Amino acid sequence: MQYLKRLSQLLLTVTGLGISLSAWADGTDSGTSVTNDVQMTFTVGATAQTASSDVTFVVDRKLRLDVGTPNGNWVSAVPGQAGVTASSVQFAVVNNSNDSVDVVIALIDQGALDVDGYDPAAASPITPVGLTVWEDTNADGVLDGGENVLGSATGVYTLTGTFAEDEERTISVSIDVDGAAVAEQYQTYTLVAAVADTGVVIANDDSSNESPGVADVPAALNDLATVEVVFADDGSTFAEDEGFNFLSGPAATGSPDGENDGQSANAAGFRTVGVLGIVKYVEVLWDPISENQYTGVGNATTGNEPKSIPGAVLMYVIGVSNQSALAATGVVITDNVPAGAAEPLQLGNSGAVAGINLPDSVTVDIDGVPVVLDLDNAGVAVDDLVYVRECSLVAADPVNPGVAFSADPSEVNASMGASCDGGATGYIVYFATVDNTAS
Amino acid sequence: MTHLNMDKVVRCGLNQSRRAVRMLTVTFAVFLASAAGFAHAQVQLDNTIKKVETFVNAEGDVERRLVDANSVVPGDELQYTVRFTNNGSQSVDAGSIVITDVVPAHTEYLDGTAFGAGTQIWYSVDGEMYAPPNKLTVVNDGVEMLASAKDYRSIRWTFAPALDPGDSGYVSFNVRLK
Repeated sequence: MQYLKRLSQLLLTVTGLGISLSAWADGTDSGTSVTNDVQMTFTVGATAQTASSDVTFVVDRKLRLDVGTPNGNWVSAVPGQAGVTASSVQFAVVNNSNDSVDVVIALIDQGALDVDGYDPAAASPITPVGLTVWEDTNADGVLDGGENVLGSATGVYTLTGTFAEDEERTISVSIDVDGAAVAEQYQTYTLVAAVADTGVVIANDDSSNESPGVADVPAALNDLATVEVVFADDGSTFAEDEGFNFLSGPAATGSPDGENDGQSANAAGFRTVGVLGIVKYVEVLWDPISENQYTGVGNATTGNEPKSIPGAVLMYVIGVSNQSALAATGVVITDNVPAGAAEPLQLGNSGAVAGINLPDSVTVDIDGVPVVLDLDNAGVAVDDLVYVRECSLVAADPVNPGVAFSADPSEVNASMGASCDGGATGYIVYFATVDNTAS
Repeated sequence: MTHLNMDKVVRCGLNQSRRAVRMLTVTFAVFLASAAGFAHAQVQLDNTIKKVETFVNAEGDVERRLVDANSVVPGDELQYTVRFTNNGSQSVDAGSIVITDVVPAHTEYLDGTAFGAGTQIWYSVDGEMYAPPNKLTVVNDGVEMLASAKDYRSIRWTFAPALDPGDSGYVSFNVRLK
């Protein structure tokens, strides 16, 4: 009876242990023995008897890596950017195995290959120079001191140390972008992560699964007591998330990553997008001595333009143009009003300001697009003016009525509307007088 | 509830400590039988494990089948089957067979999978008190509520008929490895 009591205590202890360990994120650890012990009591001729039987198996090694793209599949790049201090493509490699495992990665240059629904086939690829690949310890996309630089080329790299269960590391990739690059250029990379032991890729598991291009090796007869390797990774539907043969080199481009092949992949790339051009210029509209007027590009006063003398009226023009094909949102133009040399000018209704004689209209140039401003203010009920033209307006639309200056503005700012679509322009125009007071 | 028939019995090795415990248990049983003067009633238990695998058949339908549990990883569904056979010369008394099986550590019981023809199946959340599912409760955050399958820590089958010499039966249940 004493032995049975101890057995009972042992079972309860094991059961309790099972409850406390059940919270492991990636499941029961590889190598754990799981025992089921069944007890039976019965009587024969009213005499009590017992029997028991147990069975034990050992939890196998479930290997699964996942590769994510925490910054999405496309990362904006700006022409002229210096890679390691600018935007980076990031891959997050996570060990979702029930054991620690080494990881070997392959970084593959996909040129301007399509990722995630975009079709850049017609666009020219970015010419990648200054490629840098590193383990981005703080995942900030910037190469910091002490971070492990893996290399400056595509190819195969063995990550340092061993990935613990649940461990996630960020691999960042940066390039320098030619300053002459234009919008809508692409550079795509695929990162393939494979499970490894002591730095050597595990090409076959014990369930007749193998890495791409690797011949099946019939596994030895499995049994309950041996820890077998089981590939348990997901596949991909994207061709650019390709399988990779770590033994003989890149697989054929366009073959998706398969499931249960010991490796996972994802793709992401750089895209030159959202290149907003901005122009700012000033014109002297009128001066109080010559009283000549500036009416715009090609105006009749060429050769006899008004001069920027005290009391002259200045026109400041600040415009933006979206040079990419993608919409830009949240665009706000902010300009500091020149202090001291000029005072903001509020034009009265009909442009009437005592002692000032402005043209009725003026043509301004917004990134090569001529726009006529109506300065006689017909129909405008407020003393103005900051002319605001949001990006969403089309050429045939009148400019926004404008907003009044505050009493003594140090800056003007205006939203360019909900969206600056590709190719759209928006601008603000305001006026000031050259300070006419003695200092 | 769907029960999957065994097509093959896998006998399982015992580790050293388990083997020792089992020997002691058998010794104890024989001692009791000898002391009472009945030495011929002996029920043999066989505890086996299989993995439940899904596959797509020729018609494209998803089916389930039992395979050897040689590769078992977290998330796998397992089926334990306990077969009992009267190898003795006397009948086992009707209603006296009680089989108790602790849900193994690192696994959770899958609702509705316990099977046993001619048996009453009760469960326990503490290994001591057994009751049918509709009378089994747990206390969560001070609130008593009906226990769910994940709370079950032990299963008990009570076999109603007598078990004559040469007769056998089996009970089974499924778990998922955490």
